[in-house]
Amino acid sequence: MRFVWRKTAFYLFLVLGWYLLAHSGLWPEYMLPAPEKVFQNLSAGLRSGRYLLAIIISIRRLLLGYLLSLAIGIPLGMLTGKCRWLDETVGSLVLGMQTLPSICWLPLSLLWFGLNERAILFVVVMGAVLSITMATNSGVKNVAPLYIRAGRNMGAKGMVLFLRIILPAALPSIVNGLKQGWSFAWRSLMAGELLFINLGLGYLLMMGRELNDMAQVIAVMFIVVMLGLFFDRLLFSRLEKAVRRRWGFDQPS
Amino acid sequence: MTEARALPCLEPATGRGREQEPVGAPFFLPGEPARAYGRAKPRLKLEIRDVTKTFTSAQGLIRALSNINLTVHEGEFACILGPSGCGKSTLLHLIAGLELPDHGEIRLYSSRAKKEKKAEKLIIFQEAALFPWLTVLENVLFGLRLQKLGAKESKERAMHFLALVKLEDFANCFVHELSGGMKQRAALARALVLNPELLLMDEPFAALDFQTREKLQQELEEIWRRTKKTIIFVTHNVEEAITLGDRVILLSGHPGTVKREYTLPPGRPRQKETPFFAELAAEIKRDFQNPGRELVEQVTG
Repeated sequence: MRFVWRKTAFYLFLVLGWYLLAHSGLWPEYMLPAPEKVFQNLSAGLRSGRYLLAIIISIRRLLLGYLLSLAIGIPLGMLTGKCRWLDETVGSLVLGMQTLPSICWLPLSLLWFGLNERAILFVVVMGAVLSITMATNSGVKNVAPLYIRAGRNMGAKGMVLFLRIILPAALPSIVNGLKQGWSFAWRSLMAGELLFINLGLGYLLMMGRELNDMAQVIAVMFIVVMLGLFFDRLLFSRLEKAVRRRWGFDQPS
Repeated sequence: MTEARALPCLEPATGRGREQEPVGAPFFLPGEPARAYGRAKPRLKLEIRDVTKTFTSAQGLIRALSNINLTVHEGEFACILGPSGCGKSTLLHLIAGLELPDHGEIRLYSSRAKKEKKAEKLIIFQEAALFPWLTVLENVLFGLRLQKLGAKESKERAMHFLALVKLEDFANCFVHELSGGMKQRAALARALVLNPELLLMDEPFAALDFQTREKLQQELEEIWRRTKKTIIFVTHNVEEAITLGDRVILLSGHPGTVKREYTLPPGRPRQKETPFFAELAAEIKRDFQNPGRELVEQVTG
């Protein structure tokens, strides 16, 4: 309870400071708009459906790219985790490519696919797929040998061993990868939308800049943060917590 | 009287290879009639002949087991005793078929039909090895599900064995909610439910506190008496081996060889406070620490 109170006080204080600074007249409005201006912009944008449309477009791209990344990343991670020579070849390539920020794929993507949805989807997938692959790979590789031994001893082998022991044992690590993959996909999407104008939230941000409408810039940034928090807290953190608890990593004390 | 009772009846050191026959001359508690243990020939269950196992490590080849010869009879409780790193666990893994010997033969005389060969040698590990993503009941059901048994019958069998290990009230708990002793009991139920020909136990009570260990030893003895399973129990604890075993097989390390075998009288439960127990424990401990009689003899001779 005290925690909530402290948090609320902190944010109120922050907004108050912002309000005072904005009204001090030290900076022009296109550099530092007042909080109430941002709020007006936000509510007007949401009511007119302009922001809602952008949110829907961005989330749709994100989901599509993310699902594609799962469909590629999880099997790839399993294969490289189980097969030594694949790990040494494809695995090392994945590891190397992960150092490349996904937005660096944009020029290539634009030349390959042209100025369309597929180009941006490609960037999102390149952002998420590698970390999902890596997490699945390490999860599968680091399954305690004891579980495998116990399973084999009871007669599990081949696909049964994989599906009923290796996969569930690797799940905490895979969930971790899903969470990381999502945040990478989100970042890649925003970067892509900023550079390559075609609706979406990133596009609204760029429009704000071009129109010198700082209130819109901040309003859209606020939406991006809220969406990020929403998915992270309400989806991935809960999923992770549930798995960790069930697997006995977090002992409720 | 006391000396004459205990020491001469301990058999000579064995396991130096094929040339020495491991004779299990039993010795008996004073006052107890010499019962016909071993006379009504029990059936041979497991035969290990000349088994050798070598591992490759960064330092080169490490010989874990050398020339192991061992037999276990049906319904016998055999304890393999030895210092840490003497290859006891390796021997158990070899028996379980989790690893293959470099040389030698391990033969199980199974009473099962060919197609029921699955899960006939079950191992219980020191850390229980229960699957944390399943409940206690689901863990016990795991092996039965692999054998494609009907759901209802599986559950009945699983609950029966959970009751045997006194865990029926914890069937729906997760593994991390159990104490160490309960985990081992669940692991025991998970193995027993598959009705194995051979139950292999790899220091199952080593990580438990003293009281829990004593309690589980008693329970295991009771379960063994009721289920008539053949058990090979690995431990580094001399008292535990004497408490539980029909026979104690002492291994020496680097590489692991059978140093000596002790056949114990059938009276159970074994009383720790008797002079017999203490003397045998002292004798085994002496052999345990002795860096190998063979070696001493070589040096002095």
